Amino acid sequence: MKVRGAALPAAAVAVRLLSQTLTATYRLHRLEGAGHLERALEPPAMLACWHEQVALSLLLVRRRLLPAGGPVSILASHSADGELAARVAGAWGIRVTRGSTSRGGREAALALYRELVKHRSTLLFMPDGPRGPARAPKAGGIVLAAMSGAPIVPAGLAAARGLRLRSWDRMIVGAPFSRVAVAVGEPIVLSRASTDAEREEARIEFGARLDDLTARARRLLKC
Amino acid sequence: MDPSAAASKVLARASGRDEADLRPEFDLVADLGIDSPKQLELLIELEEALEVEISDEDAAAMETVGDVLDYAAGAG
Repeated sequence: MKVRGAALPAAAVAVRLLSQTLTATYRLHRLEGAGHLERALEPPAMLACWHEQVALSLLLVRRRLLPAGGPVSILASHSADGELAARVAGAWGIRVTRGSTSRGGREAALALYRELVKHRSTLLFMPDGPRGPARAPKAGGIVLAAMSGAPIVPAGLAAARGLRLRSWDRMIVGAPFSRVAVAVGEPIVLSRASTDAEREEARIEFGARLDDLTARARRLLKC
Repeated sequence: MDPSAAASKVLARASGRDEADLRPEFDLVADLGIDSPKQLELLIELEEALEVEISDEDAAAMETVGDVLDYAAGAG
């Protein structure tokens, strides 16, 4: 369902209330790799998960990132969905940079670079966003990490109960009071001197690591 | 360093070509193969070399070598 025009402010309020209420009820069942997550709390850093897990990732925003006190940033597209996401994120206290890889991509990425380097933010980053294909990391995030020196901290999240939306990413929305498991992996660090081949290798490894961590988070729910 | 010379060095590094081979009419993508991720690298290095913050409009308008050099000359 697309929300546009006059309905947008009301929808943003509804989504904000829903996301804040749901997230408040989630129970953090297991957090594996807490030491790696600490690295994301020392900005500049990029905390990454697949786009399908963005709603669950608000649990980490609420319990870990915002309490750490540093600025937290996201990228929201210019689409109506992006406008909705921007309004909701803004209400959460998250800084929002507008743009996408299909419209104004390089300008948005440049703004994210400034967020990382000048504002020393932790960037909550979905490498297959804003419109997919799902679970295929784009190259822009890798370049951003290499140029800024910010580590990419990969994470996988899973909910014991919930549903998947009919969106391109089949976004997971955890049910109220659902147990949530989080697996955080070793940060990926690249330098400016890295070659195109090294960056491509890192991009592929990054995607594989997010898949592995997602599978690991699902297994943690059974423990 | 002269702003145009600094921009020329950035362009040469991003494209992997000699500065002398860069012609103003060269399209960044079609002629120099500077794809979207490389354009981000170029813009970051350009900002640092020129000590400016490039606006979205100026960044979007940079399509050729000449556009980049003209921007650098204006920024200097």
